[in-house]
Amino acid sequence: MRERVAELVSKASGGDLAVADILAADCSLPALGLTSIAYLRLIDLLETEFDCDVDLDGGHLDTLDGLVEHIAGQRT
Amino acid sequence: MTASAPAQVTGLTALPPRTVEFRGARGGQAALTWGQQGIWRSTQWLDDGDPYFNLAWTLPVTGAAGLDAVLRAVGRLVERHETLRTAFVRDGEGSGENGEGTEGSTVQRVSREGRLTVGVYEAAAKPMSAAKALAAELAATGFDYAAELPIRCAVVCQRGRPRALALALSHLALDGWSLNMVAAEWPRLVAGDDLPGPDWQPLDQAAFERSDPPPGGQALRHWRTGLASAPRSMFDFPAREPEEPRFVRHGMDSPAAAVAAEALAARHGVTTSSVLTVASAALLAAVTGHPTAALQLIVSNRHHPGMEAMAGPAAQDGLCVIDLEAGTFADALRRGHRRTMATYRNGHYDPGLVLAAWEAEAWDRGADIDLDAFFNDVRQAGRWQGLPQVDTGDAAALAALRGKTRTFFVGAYSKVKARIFFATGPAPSTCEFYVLVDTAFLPGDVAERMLTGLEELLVRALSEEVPLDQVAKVAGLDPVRRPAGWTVIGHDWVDLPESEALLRRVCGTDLAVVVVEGTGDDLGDGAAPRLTGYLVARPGLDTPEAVHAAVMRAAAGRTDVLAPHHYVLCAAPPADPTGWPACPRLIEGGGRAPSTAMTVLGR
Repeated sequence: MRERVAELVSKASGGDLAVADILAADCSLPALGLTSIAYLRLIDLLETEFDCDVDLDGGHLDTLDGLVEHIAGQRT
Repeated sequence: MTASAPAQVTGLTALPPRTVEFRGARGGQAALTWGQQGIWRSTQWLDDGDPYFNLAWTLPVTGAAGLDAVLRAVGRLVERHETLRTAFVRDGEGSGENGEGTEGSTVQRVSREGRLTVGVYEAAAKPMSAAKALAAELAATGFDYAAELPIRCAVVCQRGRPRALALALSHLALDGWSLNMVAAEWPRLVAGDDLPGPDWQPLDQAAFERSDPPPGGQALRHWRTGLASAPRSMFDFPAREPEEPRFVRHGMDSPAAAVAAEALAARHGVTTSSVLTVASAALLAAVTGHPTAALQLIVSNRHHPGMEAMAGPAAQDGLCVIDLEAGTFADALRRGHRRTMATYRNGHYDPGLVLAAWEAEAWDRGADIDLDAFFNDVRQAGRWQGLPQVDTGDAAALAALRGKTRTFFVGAYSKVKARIFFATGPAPSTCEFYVLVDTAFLPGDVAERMLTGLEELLVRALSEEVPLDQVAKVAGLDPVRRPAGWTVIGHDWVDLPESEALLRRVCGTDLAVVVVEGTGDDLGDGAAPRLTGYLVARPGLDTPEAVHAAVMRAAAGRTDVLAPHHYVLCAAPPADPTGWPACPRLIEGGGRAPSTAMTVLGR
C-alpha cells in the first residue's frame, strides 16, 4: 500500500514529486513540496482509492507513513 | 450585445472596430453555481455600475499572426468557454414574474451565438503598455450583467501587426484560476491549434450541484461546527470614530518573511499558506483579545474533479476557526494547519444552506455572527518560487535580508465588506502581503503595524519559541482595551450595561435587568456563564419567543451586545432592584425553541 499511496501523492502533485523521492523522503510531504491544493487532491484520491474517510484532524497525516497508517486503520 | 467604446488612450490611434461572430456548441439556462452566487452576492452589495469586480487584463500576441487570426482566436475563446457568453438575468425576465432580484431568482443564461465588437488600435510605441492602459479603460465601466457579454476586448497593433489583446472581464465570468487557464490557451488559439473542448462548464457545475444526493454535506457540517465554536465577532470591543475613508489598506514586500515562513513550514511539516494564515489569526487574536480566531479563507475549490478545468468562478468562503489559547506559536501552526486544510477541503457548499445554519446559530447564540475577517492566498499554486537562499540560522544574514523589507500605503476605501482582510500578493520571490482594516474598529496604522508584526513574529519564531500570550508584545501591537462592564460569556466579549440597555429599550421601560448567572463557585464543569433577562411582561412581549425576536431585531449588526440566554417574564417588578430572581414568574424560557426551551409557570 505504501507504494500505491506514494503514486497517488505523485499524481496529486501533478508529477512535480517523483514516486522514488516520496518513498525515500525523511521529511513531511509539505516539506517535500506538496502544496495545499495538491494535498487536498491527494485526500480525495485516497478516499476514492481506498474507500475510506480521511480525518484531517487525525494527526500524522503530513507524512507518507502517517497516511498509510491512517488508511490501514480505517480499513480494519 | 456589444462592447462599449473606450475613451481615448494616449499613444493609441483608433482604427475601425471589427465584429467577431461566434457560435458555440450549446446554449442554455441554469441556476447560478455556488461560486457564481458568491460573486453575484458581492456585486449586489455594491452600487449598480460599480466596476470593482471588473478584471483588466492583457494577453500578448507573439509570432506573425495577423489581425484576422487574432480575431478568430477571440471568437474561438468565446465559443470554447460558455462563461464568456453568459448573462445573468432574472428568471422569467420580460414576463414580470419576479419582482426583486434576489440570487434565488437570478439565473445564468448562456447564449449559443452572438457578436462581439472588438476595438482595433495602432500603438505608436510599447504596445503591451498601451494595451494595459486600454484594458484599464475598458474595465472602468461596470458591466450590465443581464444585457452585455462579460468580456470587452480590443487588439493593439504596431505597424499593422497585432501585438496584444486588451481585455476587461467580469469577475462573474472568470476568476484568477480561469485567467491562468485562458492565458495558457491563448497562444495556441492564436496559432490556430485545434484544442479539445472543455468538458466541464458552469452549466454542468450547476447541474452537479443540484444532483441527488447533493454535494456539500460534509462542508455544511464543517460550517456548523465552525459557527458553534467561533467568536460571534473578532470585533466585540468598543467601536471608534472611523477615519475618512473608512477602510485602509497597507502592503508589505518582505523577502525575509517569505524565507522565515518557508523555514517554519518545513520545520513543522505544514505549508507556507498555513504559516501565513495562522500568523494572521494569531495577530488578530492578540490585538482583539481572543483565545480563538475565526477567519474566512477564500477557497479556490480547484482541487475538485471537473472544477479544476472549468472556466468560471469557483471560489467560495470557508470558515476557519483556530485555537490560539495555549502553548506556543509553533503549537498553533501544527493545530492551525489541520484547520486550514479542513477549511480548504470544505469550501464547496450551497450558500443558502450555510446562510440558514449561520442564522440559526445567531438565533441560538443571541447575537449576529460577524465573520468579516478574511484571508486570501492568491499565490500561484500556493507557494513561492525563487526565494533568496539565506541560512535562517544566520542572524546577520536574516537581518540583512530584513533591510530590504518595504511597507507602503495601498489605498483607502469608503465601502468594503470586511472588518479586516489579510491577503498575499502574487509575487513569486518575496512575501507580498496586505492588510486592510476597518477604522471603525482599529486605527488605520494597525494595518501597517500588523505587517511588520507578521515579519517579526515569523523571524522570531525561527530562533525561539514564542508563547501565544506574547504574540502582541513580539509583534509590537497594542491589544484593544475594553472598559469596565465588558465580560466574557462563552466565546464572546459582551458589554453588559449595553446589553441591559438594549433589553430595556425593547421593553420600552426601565423595568428589566440582565443578570450574569452561572459564575464563580456555581460554575459547573465546562459550563459557561449565561445571561438571564428579567422583565415585566406586557402585551406583545408576553412570551420569551416574542422578547427574543424583538431583542434580536434590535441587536442586528451590533458586535457589543448579547441577547439573554434565558428570559424570565414577571407580572410586576420587585420592590428592591435586586429582588428580580425572587419575583413571581409568569413564564420563562430561552425563547429559541418553544417546544424544548420554554417552561410555563403559573398557568
